[in-house]
Amino acid sequence: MPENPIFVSFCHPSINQVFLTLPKNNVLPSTSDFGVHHETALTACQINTCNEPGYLSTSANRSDIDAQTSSERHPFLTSQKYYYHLVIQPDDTNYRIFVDFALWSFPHDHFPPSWVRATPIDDAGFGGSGWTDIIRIKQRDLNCRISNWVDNKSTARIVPADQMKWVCHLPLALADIVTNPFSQMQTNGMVVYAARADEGFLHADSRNLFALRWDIFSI
Amino acid sequence: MVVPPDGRMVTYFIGPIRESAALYHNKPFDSSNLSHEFLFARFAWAILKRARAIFKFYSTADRKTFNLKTADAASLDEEEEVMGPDDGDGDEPVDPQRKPGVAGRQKKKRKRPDSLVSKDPAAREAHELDEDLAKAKRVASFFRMSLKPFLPS
Repeated sequence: MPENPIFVSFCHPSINQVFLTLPKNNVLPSTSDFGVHHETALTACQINTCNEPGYLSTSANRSDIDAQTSSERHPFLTSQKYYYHLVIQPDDTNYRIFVDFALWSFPHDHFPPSWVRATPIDDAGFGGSGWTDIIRIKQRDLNCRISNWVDNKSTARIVPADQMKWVCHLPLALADIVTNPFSQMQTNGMVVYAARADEGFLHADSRNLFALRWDIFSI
Repeated sequence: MVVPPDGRMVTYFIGPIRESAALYHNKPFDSSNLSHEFLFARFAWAILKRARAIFKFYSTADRKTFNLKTADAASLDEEEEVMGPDDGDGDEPVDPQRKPGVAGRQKKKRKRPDSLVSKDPAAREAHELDEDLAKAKRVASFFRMSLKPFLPS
């Protein structure tokens, strides 16, 4: 890793302002240079525009073809600044930037192909038995999934437990979410990805929990 | 967080992390039994949180040049409690003995550090020490013993 990670800035082309930075944490193959993985950065920018597809360019001018980048030709981003241009230019060139997870919607119909699982999940042994599921997570994951350690193993959620409001449906009142979380989860469509289609989803779903070494939580 | 470059899931750091990134960045992550849709949602959660942090540094005027979509623009002028258990990319540990309603963390809000931290170097150092101790208590239980007697007065 570089001693002082250098960041790549991602800018809005119509106002020339930065909306995201990512550190150059990737070593480029066969070199000692660092960069940002292009496809990961592109996905991140797309999230910031609430799933509007786009491309990165070193120029704020979208018609500057030479400045356009592609993940095939440039797997890693090494310049300091890139502009995120939407594929379809909106009438208002000052396209929206999202910074609230609660307002971001999951791209059910446009899930990135590189994220799609190659094989279906086997949930055997899980589903519907409440808190004992968490104990079984540690039995399933013998090692921390990041460090491979056995010691100090805890369990972590992928979707944070305090994001009930996002998992559920935004327009619904908080009181409804508290009293009937299951129905709101169905409304937002996330239930199709869960192992257990009930209110235990965020707390004990085996597809949302994995073993993680305790101290890695604080990183 | 976890991303899928080159057809496999790997751990990916998006913050200025050094030692941990040296150890675990770009290392394979076994995603068997886990929902990739949830991993993607987590990625989005981390990216949006990072973008939000950038907007905290913009002046109100600069922020207005953006067509910003946020539910609570006023909260950008506040800073989240830095010692919350989720100030990194990790989540709060799950204790099976705790009941579901208790598992969620309680976030505190505080004002921007420049209005809170004294300009006096000694006071600022003491403040940082308190923060470090509080963080250490969370991570390692043996830090719960008081260190005050061993510290210079």
